Amino acid sequence: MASATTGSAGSGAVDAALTFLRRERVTRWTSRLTLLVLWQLAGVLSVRFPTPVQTVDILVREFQTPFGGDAWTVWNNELVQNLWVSMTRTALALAYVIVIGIPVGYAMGRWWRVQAYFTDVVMVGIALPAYMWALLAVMWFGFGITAPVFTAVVSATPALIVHVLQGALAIPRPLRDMSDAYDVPSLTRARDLILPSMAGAVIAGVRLAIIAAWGSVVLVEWFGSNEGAGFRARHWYQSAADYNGLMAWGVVVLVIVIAVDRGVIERIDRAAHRWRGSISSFGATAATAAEKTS
Amino acid sequence: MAILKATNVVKEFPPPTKHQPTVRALDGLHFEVSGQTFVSMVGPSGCGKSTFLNIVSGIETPSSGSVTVQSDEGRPAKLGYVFQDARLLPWRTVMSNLMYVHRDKGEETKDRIGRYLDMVGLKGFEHMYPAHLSGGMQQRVGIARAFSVEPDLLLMDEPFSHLDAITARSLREELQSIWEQTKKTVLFVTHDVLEAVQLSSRIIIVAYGGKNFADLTIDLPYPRLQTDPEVATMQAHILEVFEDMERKRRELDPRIAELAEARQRAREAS
Repeated sequence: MASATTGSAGSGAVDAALTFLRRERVTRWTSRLTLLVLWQLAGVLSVRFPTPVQTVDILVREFQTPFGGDAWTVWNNELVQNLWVSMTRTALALAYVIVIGIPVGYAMGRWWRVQAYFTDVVMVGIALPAYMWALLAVMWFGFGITAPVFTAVVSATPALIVHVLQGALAIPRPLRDMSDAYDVPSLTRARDLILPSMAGAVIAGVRLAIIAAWGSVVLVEWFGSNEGAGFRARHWYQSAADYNGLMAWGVVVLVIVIAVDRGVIERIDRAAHRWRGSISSFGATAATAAEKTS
Repeated sequence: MAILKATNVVKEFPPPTKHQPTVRALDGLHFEVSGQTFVSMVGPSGCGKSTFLNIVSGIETPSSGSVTVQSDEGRPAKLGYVFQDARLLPWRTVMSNLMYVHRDKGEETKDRIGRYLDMVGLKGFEHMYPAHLSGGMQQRVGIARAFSVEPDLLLMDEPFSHLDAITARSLREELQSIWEQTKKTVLFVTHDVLEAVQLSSRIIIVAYGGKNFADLTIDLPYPRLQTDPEVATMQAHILEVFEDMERKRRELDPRIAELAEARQRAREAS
């Protein structure tokens, strides 16, 4: 009797542990921890590969170094100021990308003539690598804000256009016909039919555009700017020959992309598709129950 | 009430490929509908019935000829449209789906929508999403949407063809009851003769190629059931008209007769 109880409790604990390990969050954290361990291992095995601790150490030092010869403040230091410069450039570029990309992509999906007109232009934008645009932009506009913003706009806009175009093509024809038959006003149609139909494609496009714009700004700053995250990464690589500094800024660039993606884009995506959650949480038997009630 | 006037309506679609001929869906269709009538357009699949409804609703334009819909008061006629499938916005609730087609979003509209949802047996389902509803319930929402705009002319395109027989029968009876209460002008498209006889006060038979073939008045009292002997007799009569139409078609086009003979021989051989 006693042994049966013990066996049952033991198998219960194993089951609970297995259930815990099968959770999505646990899987994701396991993956992150593995990456961190591999990173640490690579740092220990190679003198040219900084460990996580060395990387964080450089970032702390960047935070403690005053920016531009002025007194140190929480705001005025190498880490925050250079990040701020890159982020404002990216934000400005993204504003242009969205203002151009969404209307052009929608018009391409809506009117075949517009699609025929822009297809080759978009193809050129996609095919030409960002570093080509970056080199040209630095030659054309020199150091300053124009080159990084221009490069980000030309690199990121085509990706957004292609996604929005796919979204516009996917607006259900039967629902458009229904709206025509009932003569639904354009504004209502845009709010209730077009935007929800295209939300997934537009969000995916903006997500890619953010990554492309951020990457382009950092790239131009690498060889065509005297401030920003890219400039600071080059400083550590070229002037100081310090791999730790290069790695640290690489990590910062990565963390910003992930933070924006998780903190902003995923939230917008969830809000846009909240109705799907309402449906799935309702339960599979609801329709049958409702039919019986009626 | 509305007056629908179709004058020599022709609709041609561009050929699917360069080497194929133009597709003529409607070829001089003409008739007039007015008053508290329930008119059905009956014809074989592909004879242009749905295309005609799309022209009336403004989704398509005719290649030549004209279709006009006038209201009694001289204002632009309001149309309601029940499609083969419900065509609901999946991301909006039942109430929002019905509000979508109304310009006036006030309390009066909400009350009217509530009244029609009640009529189709969906009171209490206002805040559910279409995915929560069965196919029959979604089609009921489509019917409530069409009636809620209080249309001068109600267009219905085979609204029960995608439903199972039991749900379709119950919805036909509900439609009949709502129509008797509202007496809207209805133009109903179907290829089901029995359905047409049960619901309609007039049946327009459309031939292959989108031409008028016959125009019949169904003078039977409402409510009607598909099992009523008078309904069955009328159905038999209309089926004879269809056989006559098929005979004439074979006479006009010998290739069809040859094809029918070949099929007959194949059947006998097997």
